[in-house]
Amino acid sequence: MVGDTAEAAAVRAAADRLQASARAVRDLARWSAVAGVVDWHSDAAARFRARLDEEVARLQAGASTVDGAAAALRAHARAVEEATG
Amino acid sequence: MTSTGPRGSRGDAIGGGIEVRGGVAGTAARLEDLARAGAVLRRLGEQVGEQARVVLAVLADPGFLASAPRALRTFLVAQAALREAAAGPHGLLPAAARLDALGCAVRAAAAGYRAAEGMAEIASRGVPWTVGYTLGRLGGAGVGATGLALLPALAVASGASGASAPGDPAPGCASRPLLRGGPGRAAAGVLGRHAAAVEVAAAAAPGALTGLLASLGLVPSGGPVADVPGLARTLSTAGALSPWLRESALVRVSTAGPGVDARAPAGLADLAARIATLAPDGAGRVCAPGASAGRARLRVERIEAAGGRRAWVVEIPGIRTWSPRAGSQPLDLTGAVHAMAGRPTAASEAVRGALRAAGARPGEPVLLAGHSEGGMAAALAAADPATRREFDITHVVTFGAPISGSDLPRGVQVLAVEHTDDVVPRLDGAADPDRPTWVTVSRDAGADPMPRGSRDPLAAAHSLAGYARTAAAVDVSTNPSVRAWRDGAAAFFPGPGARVHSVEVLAERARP
Repeated sequence: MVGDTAEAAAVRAAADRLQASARAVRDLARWSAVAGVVDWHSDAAARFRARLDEEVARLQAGASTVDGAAAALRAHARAVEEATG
Repeated sequence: MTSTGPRGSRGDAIGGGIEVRGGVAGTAARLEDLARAGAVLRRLGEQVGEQARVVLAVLADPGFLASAPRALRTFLVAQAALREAAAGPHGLLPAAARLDALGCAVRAAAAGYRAAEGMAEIASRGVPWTVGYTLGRLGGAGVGATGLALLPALAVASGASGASAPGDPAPGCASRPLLRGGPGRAAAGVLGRHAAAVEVAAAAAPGALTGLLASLGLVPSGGPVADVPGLARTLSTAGALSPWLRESALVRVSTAGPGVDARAPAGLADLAARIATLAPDGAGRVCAPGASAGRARLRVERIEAAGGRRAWVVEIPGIRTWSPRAGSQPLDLTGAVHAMAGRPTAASEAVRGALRAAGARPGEPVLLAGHSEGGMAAALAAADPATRREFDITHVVTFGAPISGSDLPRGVQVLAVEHTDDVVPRLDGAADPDRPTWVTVSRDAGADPMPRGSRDPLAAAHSLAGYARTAAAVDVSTNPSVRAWRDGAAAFFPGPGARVHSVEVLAERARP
């Protein structure tokens, strides 16, 4: 059994915070999409909606990068445990 | 509140060139919603920034930093992933900044629209109103100013009733031209070339009246006369004090016969041509049997598509009587003034009566089409809650009608066809609204041939013959707003295979 350390616990806790952050960013992406539902018709409005769609997609991608960081932290926590075990 | 943007898409070159404003490709925004959306996006940007700070805090977390010597390789990988999540191309910090910038841009757009709307209001109404008021305050000059503002209406009376048609009016035609002979034609020509000035003069008229009354120590009840509908409301009160402009808004309606089977309208040009048959000279002067006996003649067409679904088209001709004393014929000056004021008229009530007489049922789509005052009656009927409760008025088409002040519900799809050199649609003193359910198509008809028997440019610009040419251009237009309008109105133009029954309806103003 791999032994636990204070450093590994701190890293795991940080990974948990990042996963919560990724969920929050996904929620914000959904809210951003809703903010675009506005009674506005024009060429500028069409450009705004296209730009907002891009931003929503980028936010989703941003949430994935945060998930990736959380996964990297968990892998690091495991490596720390292995090194101290 | 809806803002109108400065944008209007250039129309197609077909048919001499039309310009399209409004509709699905126009500019319209609910400014409060727009400003709120901008604020929401900025707040969301802030919240994304807070999540970025969570990521940055992990980068600086003492426990994380202390773990580096235990497993340096995975520490560096995790550190790189955290940097990527915070500030990389898909990172949260740039995303927060972009959302904030987008929110700022949307708020700026709302502010810009509001400013543009304010400037347009000042330019189109405020300045003319103030000039009119100043002239009105000068007393005698005010009388002149009011006269100046009313001159277009008099000229329209001339043009719309066939000012230079040779000879006396045909039997039964009540109106006589007001501007006759060379000077009248010259004045009509000047007005036709400078029709936009009529809109300014009309916008100045309420100020002139207010100033004139103020110079006499009188204050209109309800405060200053703000706009043309307000001016019309003031004028229409004359009916309570004198025999002039007394509108009963009561009408007797009867069918002129059992009706005939017909073919479906092929398009807007066909619709204009059909209205013209109710006004045989194509310029608003109705001399047809029935109408000449003091009744207006409308037509109701029942269109039955192959599946049995029914739709209705009501065709309404323009003004034919210019006497300020209301008679039995409802399409007259009294009806026009009350329609401009947004009050029910015998003509607008005739539309409801005509649909009842023809057998229209609730839930069956109705298109109202009118020329000049007929267009005003169509808009008024479509805006009337009682009529809408009884019939499903989905579309309104007007040719040369001043309807910008109409309180048309957003469920009604409007197509307003106007000529830039026609003074009649400018008498409302304001441009049509630019919104998704309202398409305004305009064309300069100055180069059109004169209607037969007329040498009057005002009559030519207002004639249904000219409007039929413009409508033909609309029928083939590829403009997105026009196409969307046509698609929405397909039930009224079903093509071969549909069964159509056409009935003419006679309408007579009743006394209370």
